[in-house]
Amino acid sequence: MGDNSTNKALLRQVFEENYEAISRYCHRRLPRADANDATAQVFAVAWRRFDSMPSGEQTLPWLYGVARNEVRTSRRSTRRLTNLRTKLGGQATYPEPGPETVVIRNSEQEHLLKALATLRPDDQEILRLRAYEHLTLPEVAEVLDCSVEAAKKRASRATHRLRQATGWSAPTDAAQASGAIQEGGDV
Amino acid sequence: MNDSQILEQLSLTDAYAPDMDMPESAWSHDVAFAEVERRIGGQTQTTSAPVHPTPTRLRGWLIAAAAFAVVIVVIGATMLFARPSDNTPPVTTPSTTQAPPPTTTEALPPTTVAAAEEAIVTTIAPIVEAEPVMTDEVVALLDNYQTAFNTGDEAAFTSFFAADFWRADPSSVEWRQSAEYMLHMMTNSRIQGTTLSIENCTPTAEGARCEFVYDGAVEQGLYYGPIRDTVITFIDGGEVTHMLITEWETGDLQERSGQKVLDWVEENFPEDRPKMQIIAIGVVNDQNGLDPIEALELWGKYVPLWTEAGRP
Repeated sequence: MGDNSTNKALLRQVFEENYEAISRYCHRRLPRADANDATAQVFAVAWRRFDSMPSGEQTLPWLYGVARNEVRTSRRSTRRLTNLRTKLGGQATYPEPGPETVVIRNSEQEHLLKALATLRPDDQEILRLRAYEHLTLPEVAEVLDCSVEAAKKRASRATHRLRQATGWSAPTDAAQASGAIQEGGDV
Repeated sequence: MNDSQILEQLSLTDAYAPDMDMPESAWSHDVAFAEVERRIGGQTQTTSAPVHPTPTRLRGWLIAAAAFAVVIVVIGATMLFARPSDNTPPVTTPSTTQAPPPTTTEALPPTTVAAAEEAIVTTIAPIVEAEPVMTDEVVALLDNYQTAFNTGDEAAFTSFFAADFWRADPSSVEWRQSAEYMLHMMTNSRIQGTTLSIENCTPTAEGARCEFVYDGAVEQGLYYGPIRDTVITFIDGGEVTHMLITEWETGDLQERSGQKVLDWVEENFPEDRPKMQIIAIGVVNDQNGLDPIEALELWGKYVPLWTEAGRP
């Protein structure tokens, strides 16, 4: 590890380059009261694990992996934090990310989001990583800490389950092949 | 719809897409990085210039002392190496062993002092920046803030906040709070008898980190003690630009205390129960058609009575 001041300068650089992406990630998944806290914690963890943080294009997926852990930790403690300020009882509801985190332009999208909400959290996460964070499968693998092949299979299964939840029929092979992004094809 | 089209449709629902504005509730870069630095234990902040304790005289004195020390070391080293040693192999030429020390020594000072100044600059700078001090201005501002809060001086209280002030309260649903909200909270606190005490302040590059302790009969009754927020106060140009609550503590919080109070009021003072609603300390609104001031007064009235009754 380099000297402290050099690392701090590097941390500031990493922060400036990735803050908005990580903040958006956290705001999509947490109540706004918790999203900033989780975002700050991601970079605090990055500081502690400076030696293991990859450089270049691998930095952001690695930070997403840290953020994923922080989001899970935050969700576990959210009820406790809510209770702290609810104080007087009777208002203890588990806060979810607000409705402002999504834009619904048509009934198809509304249907899609409702279907997404019925999936297991792991499936939801991999689909959001693909659709919202626009990650490639190797980047998803980095976030989920698994092999690219495993990420590919999990993404495929999650998409399949989402399709089932929507009730939409599967396309023919020819139609599938004409898609702009092939599942596993943009690695 | 194929898989890629499903993902594409999903991506279109993202309100926080990279090409869209950041979430309104997101901290600014500076505020967020200040919080990161706090968490990693860094004392050096970059958002504003730190206050330097007697910078010119201290630095000049240190430069002189360091330069003197370096001169002494170099002279000593020169004399040491110039002195014939018993273990030195036999000399081959007189001119080498008898290199005249005075000449060497006289040539040293200009070079040595310059090197010392260069070395001292890189050594001193981080030390000075790491020690911001609590200025009289900051102390006075915090003191006046506390006084304005406790006397209910609305004009004085609002004068502390910069035009674009906001407070980040991660523990609250309404986490981004305006100066108007702060005034609302102060007014309501006055009604219910809550006082503010600003304690344990330490200087930061932005202003100060202090404990804001809210206490009164309501806090004592419901929480068995004061509410204690750790707050970084950002001060610029004599105004408070931001407040960032980083830690909070509510003593032995009793989750259902509020509901217990309401049940107790309903049983003992049924005429007043409809005028009360579930509120958070210092925060009440008229959403339910209730008079918020009256509701706060009733909380201030009944919590101590409920406490005296043994918190049934």
